[in-house]
Amino acid sequence: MTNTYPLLRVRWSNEHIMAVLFAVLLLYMLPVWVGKPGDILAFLAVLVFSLLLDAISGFMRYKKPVCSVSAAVTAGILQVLTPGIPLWGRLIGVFAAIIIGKQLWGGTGKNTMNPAILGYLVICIMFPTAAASLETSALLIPALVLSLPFILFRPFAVLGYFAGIIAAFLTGSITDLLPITASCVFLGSIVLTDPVTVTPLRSVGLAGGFAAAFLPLYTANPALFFALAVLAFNLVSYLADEYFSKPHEKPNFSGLALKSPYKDVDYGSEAADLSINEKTCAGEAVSKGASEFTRECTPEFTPDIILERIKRNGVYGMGGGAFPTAVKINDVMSSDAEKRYLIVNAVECDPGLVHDKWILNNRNKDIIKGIELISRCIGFRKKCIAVKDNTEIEFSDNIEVFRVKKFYPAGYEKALIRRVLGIDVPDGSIPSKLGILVLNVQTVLSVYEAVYLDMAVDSKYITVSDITKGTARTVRVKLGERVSDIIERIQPGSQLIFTGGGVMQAHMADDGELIGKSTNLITVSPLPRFKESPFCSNCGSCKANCPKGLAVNRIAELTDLGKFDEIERYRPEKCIKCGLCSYVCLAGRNLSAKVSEAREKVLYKEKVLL
Amino acid sequence: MGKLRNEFLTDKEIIFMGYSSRNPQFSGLVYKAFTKAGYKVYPINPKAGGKFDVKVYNSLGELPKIPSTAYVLMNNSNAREAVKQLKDGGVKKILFHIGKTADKALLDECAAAGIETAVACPMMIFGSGLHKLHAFFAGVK
Repeated sequence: MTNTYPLLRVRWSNEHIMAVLFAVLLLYMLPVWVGKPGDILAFLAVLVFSLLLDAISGFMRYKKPVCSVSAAVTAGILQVLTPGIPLWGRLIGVFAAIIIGKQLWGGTGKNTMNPAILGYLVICIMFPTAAASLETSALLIPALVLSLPFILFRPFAVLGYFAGIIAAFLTGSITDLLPITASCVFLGSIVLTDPVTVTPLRSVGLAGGFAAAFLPLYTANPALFFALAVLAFNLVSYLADEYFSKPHEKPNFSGLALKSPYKDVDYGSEAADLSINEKTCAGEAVSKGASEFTRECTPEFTPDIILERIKRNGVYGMGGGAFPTAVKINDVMSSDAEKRYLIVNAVECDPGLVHDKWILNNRNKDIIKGIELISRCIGFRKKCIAVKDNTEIEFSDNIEVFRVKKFYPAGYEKALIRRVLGIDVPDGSIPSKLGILVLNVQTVLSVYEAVYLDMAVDSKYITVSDITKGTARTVRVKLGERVSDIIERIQPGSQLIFTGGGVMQAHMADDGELIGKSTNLITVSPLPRFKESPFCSNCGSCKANCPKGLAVNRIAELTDLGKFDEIERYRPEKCIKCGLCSYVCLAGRNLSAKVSEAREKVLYKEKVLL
Repeated sequence: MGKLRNEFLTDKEIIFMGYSSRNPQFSGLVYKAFTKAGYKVYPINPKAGGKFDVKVYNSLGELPKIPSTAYVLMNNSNAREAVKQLKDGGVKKILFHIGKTADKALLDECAAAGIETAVACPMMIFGSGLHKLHAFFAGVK
């Protein structure tokens, strides 16, 4: 199986976020430092100790240098939480945090309990008077404001925490909220939002956050019991995530707006045609746009002739599925559905593809003819063409133009049906069997060429681009031609050549790789920066951005461990291979390759692919 | 064995023996450096199974052609086996990543087979910043 991945990636990583968090922690220290500049040196000592301890432990574990920015954050949290504690006491706290709270569990991202809070607990035991209260100061305002975005990592735990504080105020255990506001914001938005140790589950997060805020206030030593409550909450989070989180959920995700990697795309000029060496009658017609040519040699097409030509000339799904179009049309014709629909998919949501838009702009009339041909076989209740909302296009009155917002993966068949028709196609059902025919715009063009021109489908339009320069163009290529030959003719001397269904699911082109039915892109690009960091912060971004709501990080973890029997309950076979999980992963892991591997294993086991 | 000079890498195609799955970051760094400098790189790892971001071959036999130069990033015992294969494949120059990879016996074996060798990290030639500083102290030009 070829390892595919998106050529584009988010710029943020776990290390970036930790660095920002550390900067915010420095702002929390500002009021103390203004009053007592000597504390800066004390903090530097704690920081250096923490970094060295973590770096040495990390090197011993991974046998190579690893980033220790999380240790800096741990030192920062302890510094803010324990003002007035002697340096040696804080150093012991840091030692407990790094060694017992983190490294003993397996290192960054693998700890069950918040290391900083464990260190804080040790300090609270050593110094019973230690209290997590920040002085009220105008200098804290920037830190407080910049803390708020972190709430997004674990909003329910923070909501629960704030609710607990308000409940404590209403029940009289807190008399004045103002002096503790800074402490509450710090503890809520910095401590309780650690994605590694706090669950994203709504009910557990709300209850845990509430308990961590409310219960300690009824004890003799609120600081000590706050630390205990948070650690207990961490433990409950771990158990809840491990045993109570659903293996897959109904997705609550519509898509992600992805920026095109190109600055210069020419949709107007003629596409380079590398598919014809000799100008045949049909070939000449295609290069001209064919409208004039076909008028003279158009026979009266009956549904039987149309289907026969579609089948004989091998028309297939050009969007990437490569499913035989004749079978799809037959399925719709023989469907029991009362109403039949046609959706021409010209959304082209992959940010690296440009050829469908070129086809819309330049082969418009031929597409209309293709739609008319298909309509002779099936009486559609509704015919529409789905395009991106910034596409300016006009079609005949009986073809509705449906504009879809520019997000990825807007062109995913079932999502498109839901948007255009408001029909939910269940998992495992095939739209054509329900009377819904979804065809890629180039497939419709192929129908036209196969029927009107009686041309075999042995070529296709693809995008040939250079991501490093930001240029892209549409090229017609012959199926079975070598990828390297095409790039050599369009862009000689290129080294890093990628190909695939789109920029979100590409792979490096093999030396002898040929243009296949599902090839849509050839591009020159730098290698994507997948660093395969072992530090998954459990941020949940992969799951939140999965169009099928899969527990991607869990599937990836089990794939790495080779536990394919356990993977089945997470339903990796539902993956649509959009590549978004790899795109958003803050640990820089190519998750989609791992899910694809799991998917193949499960499908093979179910003998779907055999 | 001589010190690495730019002239050592005149052939614009190179075999990369030991493209690592355990340390893809460094292997990727070297791969990118070679390709950026216009080299066609053929990474080889006997455990290649589709888990890499680049096309990695299982063995020399899979290559469409065998270039005359190879870069070896392996431990000593694996390098010994790799050198045998490279010798049989007709490779004329081998760049070993570090001295630990290529002991005197291995370098002598290469010399006896008429294979020119050098020991240096290729980043000293293709990299910048600290790599160049490293190159300066290592006498790489």
